[in-house]
Parts: sequence; structure tokens; C-alpha cells
Amino acid sequence: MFKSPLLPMRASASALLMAAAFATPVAAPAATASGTLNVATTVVDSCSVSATALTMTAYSAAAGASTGSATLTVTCTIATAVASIGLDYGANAVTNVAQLKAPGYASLIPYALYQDAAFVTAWTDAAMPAAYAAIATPAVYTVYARAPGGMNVPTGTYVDVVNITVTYV
Amino acid sequence: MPNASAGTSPQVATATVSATVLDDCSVAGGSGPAGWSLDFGTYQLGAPASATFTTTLYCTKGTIVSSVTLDGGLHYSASTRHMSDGASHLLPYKIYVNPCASGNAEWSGDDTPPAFQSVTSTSVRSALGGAACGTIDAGSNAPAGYYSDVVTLTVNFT
Repeated sequence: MFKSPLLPMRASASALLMAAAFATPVAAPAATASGTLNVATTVVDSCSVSATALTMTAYSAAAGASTGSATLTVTCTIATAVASIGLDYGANAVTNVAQLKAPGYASLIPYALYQDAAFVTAWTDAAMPAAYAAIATPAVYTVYARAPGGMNVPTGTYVDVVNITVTYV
Repeated sequence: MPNASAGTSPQVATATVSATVLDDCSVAGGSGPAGWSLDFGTYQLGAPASATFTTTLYCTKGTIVSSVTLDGGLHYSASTRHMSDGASHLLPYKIYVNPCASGNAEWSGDDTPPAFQSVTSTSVRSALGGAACGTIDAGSNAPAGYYSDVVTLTVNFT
């Protein structure tokens, strides 16, 4: 009664010895060393912005306003706090009024950029459409342009270039 | 004139000095760093980052390096190495077997860079190896902060 549990224990002990005896000769020819490769970077907040071309409807002195819209895409590092997305008055501004201009002509067509399709709230350098913080995916905005009718100008293609400034912390 | 009783000059004797030198390799060389370092500096979402790092092994004379492999680091997932900011944000990156200008094969699995293929240490403590490249793709969006990873390298030699 007392001795029988001892027998299986002895058997397992000898099995262990055999395993050790077989394992020893295997580790012979090649050797191994190890080390570490430390990898690091510092992620800093950043934003990028792009815009589609804003093409306005054909303009004539007789017709009403000419309008159009474009899409702005702002992409920032996760958790970046964006303070503003501003639009300046373009390359041909006259006292803070943006102007379309045809190369070679002195004539200008005044226009303005808006945050809404009803052309009520102007989109200026200091303005931004909405609370804009802690975004994780690209944020897309639509900017609306409107040039009031009534200007009698030569036929041509009138263009402007507006700078977009994203301010973030 | 002295009368030396010690016999003619020169006197000759031998002393046997012996030591057993074992082949060995390590990444640390003298006052050098304790490990290799791949430092990307700063990373911004809008642009890719890359950095060339030196991959130097110091081996005893006659050591033949057969392979140098890298594991997936501490945050390997979806077949990609990642750095972590310690707050569960991950930033994926890649390691290539060549310097950045020419690197196009990833250093993973059983891969060994050309600089380590069948090289033999020729002096007492040779510096073997060359350079490899790490990259972070543009558009990897992770919150600002310090990100790091530790990759274990394994050197097989005879």
C-alpha cells in the first residue's frame, strides 16, 4: 500500500535523465549571439490641405451672379487642435475684395468666398466653418464663390489663386 | 672579468602560456552603443520618413557569420512592425536589408542582408556589416508623441 506510489515516480525520474543525455550532443557546431535594435521616432502634429478647382458659371453683364463651389480637404495628425482654416483674398484683391482677372486685361470681376450655399457667411482668412478639433480622418468642406452680375468686362477667362491657411497647435 | 657560472649566453628556457579563444560576435564594440539604433527623428503625417542605420557586428578572428536575422519587435501585427507610444497607439514601419538609397527588400523572417552573407572575420575583433534602412510611410496617422520599438537580432556563426 505504502510503496506502490513510489514506483511511478522513479520511472519518470529515469526518463528525464535519458532526455538530458540525448540533448547534450546536439548543441555542437554553430553558435548564436543576440543583440537589440532600438527603433524610435517622435511624431509631431501636422496638417495638410488640398482643394479642387473652383469653376464658376459663365459671367455676362446682363445675367445675374456667377457662382461655383469647390471642396477643401484638411488632413491632420490625430488629436491635433485646429484653430482656423482661413482663405485669403487672392492674388488680385482690392481693399479686401477678391477679384478675378484675365491675363492681359485690366478689368477685374469682384467676387467673394462663402461658407454656405446661400452666400451669407463670408469665408475669410480669420474664419473657419465649424469647431474643428481632434479629427482622425480627413475633414471635407465646401467653399462657395459668388460674383455679382453687372460688370461690363471684355470676354475672356478670368482667374484667381486663393491661399488656404490651416492654423493648428 | 667576471667568471659566470651560469653557462654560456644566451640562456634559454620556455614558458607555456595558453588560453582558449572562443569564436564570438556581439553588436557592442568597445565604447560603442549597446545595440543598433534606428532613429527616424521626427515624423509628420504628410511625408514619408526614412533613416539609414549602421549594422556593425564585432567578431573574433576566423568567425564565419552565416546569418543575421531580426524578429518582428515588440508590437508585430498584421505582418508589420510597429512602434508604440506606450499608450496603445501604434505607428507602422519597415526595415530593409540595404541602405535607404537602394533598399527594396524587407529584413524579416530568415532574411540576412548581403553585407552579412558568408563573411569571415579577419582580425582579432573585426567590424562586419554595413548599413540598413528603416522607413515610415506617409499618411500613418498616430497622435503626437515619442514612439519606440525594440527588435531582437540573432547572429548565427561558426
